[in-house]
Amino acid sequence: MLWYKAWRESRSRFLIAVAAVSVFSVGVLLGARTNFPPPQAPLLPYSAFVWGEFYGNGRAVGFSVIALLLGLGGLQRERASGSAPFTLALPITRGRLVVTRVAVGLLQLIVIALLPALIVPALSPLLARHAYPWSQSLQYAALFMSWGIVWFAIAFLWSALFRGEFTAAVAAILTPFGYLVLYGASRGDQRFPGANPFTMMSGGLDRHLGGRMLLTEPLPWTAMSVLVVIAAALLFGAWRMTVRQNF
Amino acid sequence: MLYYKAWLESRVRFLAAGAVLSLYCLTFVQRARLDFPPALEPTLPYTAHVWRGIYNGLDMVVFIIMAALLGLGGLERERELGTDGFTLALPVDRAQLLWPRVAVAMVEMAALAAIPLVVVPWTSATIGRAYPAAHAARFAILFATTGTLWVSAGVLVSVAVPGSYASMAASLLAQVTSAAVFSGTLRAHPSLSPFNVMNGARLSLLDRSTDLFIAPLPWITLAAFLLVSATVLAGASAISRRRDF
Repeated sequence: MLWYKAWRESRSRFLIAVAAVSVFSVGVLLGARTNFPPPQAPLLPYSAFVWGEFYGNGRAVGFSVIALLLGLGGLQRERASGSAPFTLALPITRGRLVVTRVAVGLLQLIVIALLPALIVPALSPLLARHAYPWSQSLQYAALFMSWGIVWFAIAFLWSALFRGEFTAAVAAILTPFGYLVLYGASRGDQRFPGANPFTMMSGGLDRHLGGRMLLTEPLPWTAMSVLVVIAAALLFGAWRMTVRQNF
Repeated sequence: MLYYKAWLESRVRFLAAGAVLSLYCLTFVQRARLDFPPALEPTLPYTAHVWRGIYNGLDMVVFIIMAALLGLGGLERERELGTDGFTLALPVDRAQLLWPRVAVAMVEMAALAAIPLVVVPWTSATIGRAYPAAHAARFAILFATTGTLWVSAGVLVSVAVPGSYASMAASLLAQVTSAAVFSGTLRAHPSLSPFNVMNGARLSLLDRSTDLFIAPLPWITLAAFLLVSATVLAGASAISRRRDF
């Protein structure tokens, strides 16, 4: 029942995101039938075209926005809308409420990350008449998820802290940009290039990405593990806060 | 009173966005003391450096997202919170509730568009560089006019899609998808894209070496954007009038 409740609360956001990503992915592949190769770059490899359409040029920002939106919700929001007492009257701990909502949100995020990863290699030969390797799209999906879970956890934490839904949402959406401001101001791009979220998500840590925009090195597992730990710490913080809140 | 109500409902969004945009412009220009000119482009003009970092950089992304968020709110949100009964009990019709909200959002969006105009020329002078305020003013006009599209899209979504988070998702994902479509499928028609018109990217408005204006502002395109915004807002008003609460 808790799973169903979490699903009901987040399904409209999830379904809107699924529709947007699916329509965009299929639309790009249909367009590639006539738009690829572009006249200004007739020798552009198909893999570089796919990278530009799905993994580069700000697409990581789009995925981050989806992750942030899926992370919002929770008891503070229910407090604002007046339904928190009903939820708290259920014979379960607050920890279970939090864990269920995190699990549903992360599953939704994984589905969205996998959508282009499945659509592009499966439909490229049919719609665009070119092939794109499954391994590449799955690796890019993993890179998107690496920072995606951090953004999800940040949004979850803000929504555990703030009652107003717009306050939590604005705090969540502005967090990546605030982080980039601090990152730039501390000259992080020169000292810690791996800490740039959008560079990492777009495969920028691979030193041999080359003009074909294909990942050739193993995924940055150390950096990804650090991000998982950060996300876990943020979610733990949100859980502790929710448990201690007075409703 | 309705304007004050709209301000109270949107001020957190506006002030948070204003703080982030101001901080970004300020730190970007201050950093130029250390990292300008870039090692790989020692002859890059300062004005081009500013254009890349601010008018074609993070400032633009945050501005677009926040303009859409400023358009959200209204009766559908109040319905969720249970306060719509009190608002509907006010002796005004629904259009009178909508238009002050739109006006406040537009003013807030224009104020956000003006932040680089205030911060960049002034901060540049403090580090011994010059950025012409006249060009910053033109970018502010482009941002503010195209911003009306994002605000009106947000208003339309806020009256058409129930649920605060769903309307937020619809509004932001509509932007993300349109950005992707304009940079992909419609790449051959750059003058149609509001994302290009905002900062002159891929248009003949700017000198490609200095990224300063060499042509007058595209007044016809801007007028078309205003017309589209007005149409979208009229649609939002029509939907709002017919809603049954």
